[in-house]
Amino acid sequence: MDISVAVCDDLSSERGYLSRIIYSYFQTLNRPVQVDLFGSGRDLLFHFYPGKYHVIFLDIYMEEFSGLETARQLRQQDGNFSLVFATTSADYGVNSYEFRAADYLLKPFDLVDVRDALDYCIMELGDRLRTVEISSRWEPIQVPLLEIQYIEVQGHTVLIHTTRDCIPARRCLEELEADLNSPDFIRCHRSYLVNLNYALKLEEKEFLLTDGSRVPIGAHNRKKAKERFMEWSFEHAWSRK
Amino acid sequence: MIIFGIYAPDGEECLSLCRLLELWASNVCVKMELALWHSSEEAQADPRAGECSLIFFGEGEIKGRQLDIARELCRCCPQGKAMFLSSDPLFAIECYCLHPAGVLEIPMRYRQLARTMERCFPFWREGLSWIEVPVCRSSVRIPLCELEYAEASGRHCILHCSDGCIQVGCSLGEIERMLPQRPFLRCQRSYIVNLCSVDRLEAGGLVMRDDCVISVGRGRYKEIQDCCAEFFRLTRN
Repeated sequence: MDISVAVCDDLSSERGYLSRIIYSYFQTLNRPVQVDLFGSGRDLLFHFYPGKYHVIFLDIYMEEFSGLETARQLRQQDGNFSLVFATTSADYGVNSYEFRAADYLLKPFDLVDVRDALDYCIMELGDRLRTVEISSRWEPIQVPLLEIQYIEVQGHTVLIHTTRDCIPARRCLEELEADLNSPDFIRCHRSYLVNLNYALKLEEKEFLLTDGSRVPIGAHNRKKAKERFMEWSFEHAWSRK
Repeated sequence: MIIFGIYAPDGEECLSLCRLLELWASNVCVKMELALWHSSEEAQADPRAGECSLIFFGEGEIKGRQLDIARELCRCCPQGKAMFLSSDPLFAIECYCLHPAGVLEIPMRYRQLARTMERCFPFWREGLSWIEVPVCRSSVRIPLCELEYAEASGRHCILHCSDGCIQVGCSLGEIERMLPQRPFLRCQRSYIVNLCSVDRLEAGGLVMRDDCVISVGRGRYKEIQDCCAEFFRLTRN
């Protein structure tokens, strides 16, 4: 899965320098990366949507929108990306923790500083970068867990419903459930696994998902599904504060 | 029950932090134990050190060695995260090497602590207190910190929580018996309020965060006024 990084700095030389270090880092890991460059906080906010970036490097002293104000608005939309402040001033060292920053780099920084920050970001991202291998049609593919909405059994096949596609696979649901091994997925029915990140509402006998799909809840799983969904919703509401 | 460690050789700083944490735990209804240490030997010898979810490191007189001590202690507490007390922005930046849960500015204020602890929710969620209430033919568990106020409705009552309302199949009196005395307050016959959700007290009554106004019984107005004044004095600084 491609890692997506945004670099926001009003100086083009700084953007260029940092993006070269980032590309070099991921090259040594042999991992594909997409780096987007922005010259202002406004520009970044305009192009941003939740889930778009895994890591954002943000300068603090910029015209119009400071890095801190940009960070505040980004966090209001998405609590899941890793944020790294990259700036000349140490003044906001204490305040930076308010935005759940992963690191604070003082310019001029070098490859080691950026590498250490990225090492931590990759580790912090953890589950968000995880994929599961599915042998589908002709060759095995890696499906990001984040993109799986729900999985259903149809005969001898499981259908993996993702945000982009519906992927058939010849695997048993128990095996897939063990491979996913994620607290975001619950077995709400003997033939269904649902990703709670896409559950909009729990109705009496089914989950209503964000795209309008409905996933049934087995009679024996109803109480557990309700408890699990309430607990999960509560934890996620807190993590967005 | 969650355990927080406090490593603060400075007695006053330690006391101040303990008071604030106890106030916070009472307001958020979290069962918390504090382990206080004045030296790293004391911390390492304490069997509770391995169970701490957060360890607060005071500035004290060992500023230069704070990070080394923190590194040493965090090794004894693999599931614990460090939280530093400092106003030095350069030190705060240096702390990133340990990826702490946060840095609290000195002098400490309740509001700052409360905001910081909100962000550290995963480290204290195990200590949350809940109530279990009957709903329809089933039951629902609600964390006390989410309960803003409870309103009597015939033989039942309505619980107003931060993300919605829920009608429960028991009386307000039964709910009152399940709740701790603070931060919950029976302001009149038909209402129990969580002081943390009160915005202000006016002549008309208690103005809640959702702009609902709850009248206060005439006989209890002075008592409620004193409670609110004390609560706001402690928490709005």
